[in-house]
Amino acid sequence: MTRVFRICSPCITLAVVVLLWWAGKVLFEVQDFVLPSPWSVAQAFLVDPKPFMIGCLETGSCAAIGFLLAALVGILAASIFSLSRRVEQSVYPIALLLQMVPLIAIAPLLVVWFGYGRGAIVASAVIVSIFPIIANTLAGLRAADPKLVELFTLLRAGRIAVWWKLAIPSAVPSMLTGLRIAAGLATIGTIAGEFIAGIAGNNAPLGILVMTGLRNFQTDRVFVAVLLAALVGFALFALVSVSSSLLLRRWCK
Amino acid sequence: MTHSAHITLERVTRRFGNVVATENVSLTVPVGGFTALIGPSGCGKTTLLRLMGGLDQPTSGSVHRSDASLAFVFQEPRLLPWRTLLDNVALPLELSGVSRAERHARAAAAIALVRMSDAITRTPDQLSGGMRMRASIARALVSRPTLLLLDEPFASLDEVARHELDGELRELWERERFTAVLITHSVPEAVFLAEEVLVCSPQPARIVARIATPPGVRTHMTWTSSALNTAAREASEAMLSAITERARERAAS
Repeated sequence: MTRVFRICSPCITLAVVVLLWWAGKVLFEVQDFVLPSPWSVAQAFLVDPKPFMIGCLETGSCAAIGFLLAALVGILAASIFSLSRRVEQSVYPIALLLQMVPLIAIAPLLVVWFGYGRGAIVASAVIVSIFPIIANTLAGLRAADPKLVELFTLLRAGRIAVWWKLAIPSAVPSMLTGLRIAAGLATIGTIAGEFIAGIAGNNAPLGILVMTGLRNFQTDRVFVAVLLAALVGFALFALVSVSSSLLLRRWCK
Repeated sequence: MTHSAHITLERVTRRFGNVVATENVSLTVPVGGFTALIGPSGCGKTTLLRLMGGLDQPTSGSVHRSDASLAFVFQEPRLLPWRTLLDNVALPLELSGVSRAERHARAAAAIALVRMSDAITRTPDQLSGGMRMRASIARALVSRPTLLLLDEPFASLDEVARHELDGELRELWERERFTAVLITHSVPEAVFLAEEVLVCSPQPARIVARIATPPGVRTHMTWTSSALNTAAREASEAMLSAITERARERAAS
């Protein structure tokens, strides 16, 4: 019963929202380019779904690659920080500063460095999603139970052994939390990157479809692209969540 | 039985800032002997044990240990939650570079000593409190230490599990004849397990009485034997008089 409710209730909420949207449009006679009807949004997609599907693929793959790169570099960086205080003290504040710079401000630079297209877009996804991975992994690596650390010291374990056999396994839960947060952020970074560095044409990503839709007053197409972008983000998040909860089952039962 | 000293403490004092944890303590632990240290909680018994094990250094005085092959059993089992029983028990061998096949064989033998062979593939969350404590004893014994230091190992267990484990520990010691030092604040437990009971005063810890317990084989059925009761009464009285004397000293100063 509760399971059925858990699946059905968001669907019902969605149906109500769509219904209100429709009713609002009809009741207040809102113009199509301000707020298209749910029906015309669906039609915009169904009439010519191909560019949207290509856009999903393009945006999704850039977000996934960005996420994987951020995970790799982030976990590696956190590991190095946790092994050496000196490196952490000299590099971590810079990483923090990088996090504070608005993405929109660096994005043009990314174009200068990586050129228009996937390079700059992936870089933008990495910049946005790497920080929660570093911060959470580092916190996890530092949070090993001091009583277990004492046990390892007593057993004369070297620094690398403590790190590999104690710190890393202890860090897994918070590392996975960081990855889940990053999965959502990677898509945001990708779309933002596409606004500035995306290339229009047959392989246009969702960010570009949003921009061209806006320019041509095709608000229904903008809606389709926005909804699909949310879907791509959700899919990446769900993928990471499911695989991390499968992994976590070994840690906290 | 040999009577050479395994550990010798000579006029050992340990201060933490203004707090004097132990003062002028001299004692010897014979090779192959079972010595218990009892005293009111917070009196500095654990500090003495840590000094004996080399986990801490005295402020003044000296600590001699005839060899370095020692193992600790803590108040908590300190098992790695992500490892099976076998891999937890094998940890000390793993950290000292013993090959996989050999350490697994030796860990299985140590697990058999504490009668847990049927739980070898379980993780700590699948073990009861008593079983986890037994696992930590197996881990301590796996490297065949000549000296076993036990810091209130069964304090967190219920009465029944505690009696059972006390019986098993005494049996193990009678068979293996390692040198054992036990910290406890339970007088009956100290008298049941040890050959010699050293009574500590309230902080700063001093040895105020030495009580030899009756010799002979003990099982958990002899917990309440009259000879043990006499020794227990003697130890309790020594501890109580130390407490009242310290209280009188405090009142006078």
